[in-house]
Amino acid sequence: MIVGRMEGFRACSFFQGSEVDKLRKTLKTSIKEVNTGQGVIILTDMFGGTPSNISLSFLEEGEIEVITGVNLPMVITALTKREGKSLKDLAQTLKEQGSHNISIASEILSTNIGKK
Amino acid sequence: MNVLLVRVDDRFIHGQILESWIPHLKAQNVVVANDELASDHFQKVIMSMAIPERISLRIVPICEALNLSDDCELDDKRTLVIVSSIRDAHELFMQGFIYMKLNIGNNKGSEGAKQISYSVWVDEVDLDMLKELMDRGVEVNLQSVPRERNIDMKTIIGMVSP
Repeated sequence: MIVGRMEGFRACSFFQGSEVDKLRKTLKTSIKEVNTGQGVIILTDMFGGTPSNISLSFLEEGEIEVITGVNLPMVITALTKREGKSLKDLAQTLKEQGSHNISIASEILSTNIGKK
Repeated sequence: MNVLLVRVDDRFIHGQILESWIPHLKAQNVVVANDELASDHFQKVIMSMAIPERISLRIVPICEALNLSDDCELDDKRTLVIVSSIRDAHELFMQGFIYMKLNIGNNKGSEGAKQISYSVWVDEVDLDMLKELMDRGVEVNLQSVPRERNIDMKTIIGMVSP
């Protein structure tokens, strides 16, 4: 919706009642499909949750990285800023971007209105 | 060790446990009794990292769960026990690991098992085991998280049994 159709990207859903083994297989296939040799980053919701637990078992230094506690700005950054970046650098950027993009609206408003 | 609840959950330590069951039970200790997980060092590390530090965690093979009652570090700690299947919950009880409440949360069940809630599947062996546990006074219910409707197994076992 925001950045249009993307290559080298898969959304793997996990619902209540979904089988853990099925998610593991889906992730395995998806990693293979999107990996062009430059590595793969798996973005998951919360550390300690099932998607994160399963993803972490694919961790491979320099090859497969897992980032937990992901928000939408991070997903967008991952898709638009990955060109020319190493896996490690992109992961670091995402982590920084993720927390940077959280804001309390009234705080930004008061700062901006104060400036005028 | 004060066993408040035994839960069947094949995802072991995950969001529902961390965010709902541990706070709801005010658990001070979590025991996962599962042979496969107990021998998987990597998954054990991941799961122990997710548990808040104030809560103790023991991941043991089924046959060692009974020994935990001698673990003086666990003393009378409020404990949540997690197993991956109804079969394991039954085995635990038959070994002498006595508990009063069994909650069935997530299990994929065997091939040909019947779905009785959106996250629980049972076959005939499971049903017989549940009946046996209920006959011995164990309260069995179906519930994913404490805020959700609690279904007493007694009220549906007649309907789901063949």
